[in-house]
Amino acid sequence: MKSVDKLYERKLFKWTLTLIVLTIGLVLTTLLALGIGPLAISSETVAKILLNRISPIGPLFPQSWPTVYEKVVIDVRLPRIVLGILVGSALAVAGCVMQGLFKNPMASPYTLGVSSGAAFGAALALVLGMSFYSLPLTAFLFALLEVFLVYSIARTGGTIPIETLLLSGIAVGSFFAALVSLLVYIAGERIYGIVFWLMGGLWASSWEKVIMLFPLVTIGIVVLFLFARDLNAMVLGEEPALHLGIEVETVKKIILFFATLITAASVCFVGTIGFVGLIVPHMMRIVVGPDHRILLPSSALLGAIFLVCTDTLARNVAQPAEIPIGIITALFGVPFFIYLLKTRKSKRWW
Amino acid sequence: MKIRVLGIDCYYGSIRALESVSFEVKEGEFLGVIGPNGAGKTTLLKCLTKILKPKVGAVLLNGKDISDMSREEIAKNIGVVPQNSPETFPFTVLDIVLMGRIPYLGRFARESKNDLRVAEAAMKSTNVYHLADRTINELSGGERQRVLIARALAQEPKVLLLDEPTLHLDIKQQLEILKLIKRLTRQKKLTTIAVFHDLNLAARFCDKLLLLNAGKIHAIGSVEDVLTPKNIKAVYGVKAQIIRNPLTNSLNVVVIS
Repeated sequence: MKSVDKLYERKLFKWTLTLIVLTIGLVLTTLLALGIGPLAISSETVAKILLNRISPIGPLFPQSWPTVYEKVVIDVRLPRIVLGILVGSALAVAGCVMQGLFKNPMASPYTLGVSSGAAFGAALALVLGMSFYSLPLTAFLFALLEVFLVYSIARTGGTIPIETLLLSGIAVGSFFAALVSLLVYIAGERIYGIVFWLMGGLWASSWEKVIMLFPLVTIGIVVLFLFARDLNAMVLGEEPALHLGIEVETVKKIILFFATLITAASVCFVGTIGFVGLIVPHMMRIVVGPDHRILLPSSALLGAIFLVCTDTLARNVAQPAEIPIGIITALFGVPFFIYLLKTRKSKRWW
Repeated sequence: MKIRVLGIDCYYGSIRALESVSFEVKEGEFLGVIGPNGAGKTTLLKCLTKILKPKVGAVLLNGKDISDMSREEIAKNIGVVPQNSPETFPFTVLDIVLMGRIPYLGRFARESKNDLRVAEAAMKSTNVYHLADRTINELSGGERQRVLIARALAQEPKVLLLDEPTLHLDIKQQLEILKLIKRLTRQKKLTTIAVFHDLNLAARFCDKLLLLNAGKIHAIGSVEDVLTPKNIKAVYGVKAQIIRNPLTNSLNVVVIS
């Protein structure tokens, strides 16, 4: 009799379990990543150093480690890892909502060129010597411009065919990427360098950046979560969504606005990191299914884990040098992208 | 709930798709909309749900103009069963049917016990309850269509609109779906409007027919009044004979040339 309730409860249980597992995964990844580097520190010590900083329980964990450990963990590695968590979840969520919105498995901030638009905005602000705080704003404006261009080019008679969307994304994205290269070429040493903007890197992390990124990313992600149910209806088609009382055009604009915002905010501090927004939502979709109410939060968590892991690789495999993180994400991302292309025709894609 | 259409003209850009269309459908009545391709059948359905806005005229639900109603309000009154699309996403049947509750749910709310009860009743009345935990892609065309009808019922609508409900279905499934729609119309006192391609199915199940031609109403009324050799010739351009099938006691259109 109550089997519908049972089904519903089972679903909620599965969702809760997924989120708990991923949260534990993120905490463990963070502890491990904090300990890895030229100065290896055990996870236990890392945990104690962190707990020591939390005011009410701090005294329970008196300092039993050299002060340099604390400096490395708190001042060097932690801001970088927190930035990685923010960026990873932002890119994964942005990719996830774009795939839903365009009903297209290949949509992501990187493939649609949004990241390149944002990178150009940020690089331009740096070259023009604008203030540090104007970076996210210019990045956001150019990312919006890029999205608008791609959207207008791809739109033919009210629909957006998959092929033209991808092609115009690549075209407009490449154009902005070329402009970034040009800026870096002209500016020389004055801005981070071409590798940073085209392949991304977290080496320039600081608490200051974390503090700026945190509200932008959290607000953006929370707003997008609130539209998860609308996205569910919209992936089944725009007309059916209208029939369910959803103001599709308004919702689309809101979603695109906030997805662009969190992408731009991320890109202006870490450059363009590809494939996170592409792979992560797909992996989660295989595990939890197509419902955006679980897909979005779980993608955020997995995106954070994925980026912290790849960044740890990026800063450690070629010591003392660093590999741009975009190379690592691409090494994982490209084979996966090809796999998607090859399987899409024969089967449903999510 | 009575639906009244008052002299609507509808345009796609500069092309007129509907011209001074007026009719009304009462509670518990099943209207079939027929006509050749491009006659404006689907456009008419779109006007009834405010997806397209008529340039002239109005659509009234119990006397209230739908252009003054919010989408949410319309969704609480009109359930729409879209054309059967073969490819969708692996939502479970329960997920799909619960989507019918979206117009009743606040942005921060999740489905209540009552929403689950409504979804359950909707699934039972279209006989898909046993499929609740299956994903929609695993189902046959007929089952999928019944799920979409259940979703529309979960909206607790007074009006039910269907766009070619038997498209891509085999003859057995066609019969099942139309019997179901007819039964729901009577039981729940729905006002039902469905677009048909198959004249014989429309003749057998509808209470009234509306024959559209080039955006205008060519004929409206009882099945006998609308399905005449003269009307068929004028609208479809074919010679046809209308016979009463003694086994089903409904009219059959036999195309001669």
